[in-house]
Amino acid sequence: MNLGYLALELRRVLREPGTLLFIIGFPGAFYLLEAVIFESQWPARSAIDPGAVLLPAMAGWGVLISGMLVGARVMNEREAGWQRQLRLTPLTGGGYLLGKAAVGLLVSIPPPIVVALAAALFRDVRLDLGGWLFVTLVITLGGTPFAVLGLLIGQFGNKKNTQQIIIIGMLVLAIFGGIFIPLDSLPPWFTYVGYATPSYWLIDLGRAGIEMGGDPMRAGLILLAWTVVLAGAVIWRYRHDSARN
Amino acid sequence: MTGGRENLGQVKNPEGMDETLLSKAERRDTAVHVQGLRKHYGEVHAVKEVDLTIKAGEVVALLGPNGAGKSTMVDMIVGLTTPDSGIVRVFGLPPRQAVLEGVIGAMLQEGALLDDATVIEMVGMVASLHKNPLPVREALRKAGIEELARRRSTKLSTGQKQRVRFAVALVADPDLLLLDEPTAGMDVRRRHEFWHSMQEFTASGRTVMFATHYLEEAEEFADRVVFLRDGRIVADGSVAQVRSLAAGRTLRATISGVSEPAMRALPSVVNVEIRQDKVAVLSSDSDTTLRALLSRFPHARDVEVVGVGLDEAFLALTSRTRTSEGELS
Repeated sequence: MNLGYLALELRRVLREPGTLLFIIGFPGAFYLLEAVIFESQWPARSAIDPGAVLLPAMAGWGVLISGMLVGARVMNEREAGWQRQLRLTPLTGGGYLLGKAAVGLLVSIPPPIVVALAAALFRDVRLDLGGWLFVTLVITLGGTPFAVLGLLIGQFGNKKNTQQIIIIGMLVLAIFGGIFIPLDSLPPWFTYVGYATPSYWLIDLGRAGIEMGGDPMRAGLILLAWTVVLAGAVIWRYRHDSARN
Repeated sequence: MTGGRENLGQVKNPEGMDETLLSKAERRDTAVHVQGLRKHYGEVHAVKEVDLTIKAGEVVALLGPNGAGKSTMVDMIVGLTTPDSGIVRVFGLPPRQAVLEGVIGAMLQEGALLDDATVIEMVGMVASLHKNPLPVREALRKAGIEELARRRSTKLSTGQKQRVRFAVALVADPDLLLLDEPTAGMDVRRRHEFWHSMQEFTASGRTVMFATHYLEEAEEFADRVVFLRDGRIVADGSVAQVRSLAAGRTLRATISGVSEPAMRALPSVVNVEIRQDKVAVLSSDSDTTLRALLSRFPHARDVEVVGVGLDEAFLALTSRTRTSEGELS
């Protein structure tokens, strides 16, 4: 990977304090709010605390939005014609993808940590070390397809529609991933649709940390498959996108 | 297949030609080789059947009105656009490979800059992508923007932005520099400064091809001028020829049974166009040409002599409507 490229990409993201603050603060705040709402309706005999159930969901939400929002920024440089300039350098489609995805991943590291801290400090959630790792670093890694998906949307979208596509995309993925409302409390077809989304498996991966998920290996492999397919599309698009504006 | 030439026949090439036809020396000496190039966007034929060879060290101006296909041509030479058919080679390499080798530097019309980065960051990043880049400071100095290094691109004037893009193209230390309307939006003084920094680059024997609207630029800075109209090369010649084109006069006459070789044989003739019996002869010395024409074709009718400036010559070459394939009216 080209370090000069990665360094500038990262520096550029850090120059957008508004987006960063939203990405880092929003999922943590949302976690606390949802925990309060769900607590009042939680069955008293339930073995597991709502604060713990919401933890992987909101950590996953943080990973999902940071990956997608950061990825979609590529639309700006495409519209400006910078991507055409990049195509005149030896930067390959793969190198381009790696740089962009790496930045998306780096930015996805803090949000789940903030959610985990909120859970530990304000909701008294206690997990073992492996559990904490799952709801933070593992879920960040599992978020790779969302960074790539954001990139892909930014590569196809324009100034007018990218924002809408990203917002609708994030909401649809959140609903079928069981992020805002646990899928158990929705009709079963939501779960069936969820199987077809990467967000379902992202939350499933995180839930392994609170011992509620499926096989984390299966979730990881499905997310990897999503990454490979989306990455292929991004590289193809980078090579063929020479559209004049 | 290539007889006495250096044998490159073993090179497998899906297009099945070209590599086998160019010797190694020719590759080094031929900066751009374009053959049978075509590109259309939907119904619009942007480039139709263009052949062009540019020798290493030449400074070539690509002139033509808007929509003549200049940008499409530049895009195909740098490999941003894939031609429908035809061959492009840059120093013997397909465009993408030439880019990977750092052979091509290009300043595109729409190659804008990043809003959230400084000049030195952008030039530095592009340098880090290339194999053998110039030192970043040197590229900035050559483009005349050292003092702008720490400035964000949002705080640059149009002319300054152009020079930043020039630095981005230069930092690859390319052998071929392609510039698409490099001085668009610059005032006269800035244009002169820009071409002054360009001369430093061409003095080292590098090849430059630039598309422009400004005739003076072509005249002043190019060795060779290629006129493009409607996706075709309608004229291609040295600056001296262009000058004589500008200094010359056009003779028109109606001569029955006229042939092009006969007209070209007349003294001081630069260019000949014939449509049925109507002849238009571009002459660098119209008196001599006219005398010879009248003595050789005493039956010539409707003779007229009109002066052409470079602007008119340019307009004449580039803006006439075509009545049928390849014919001028």
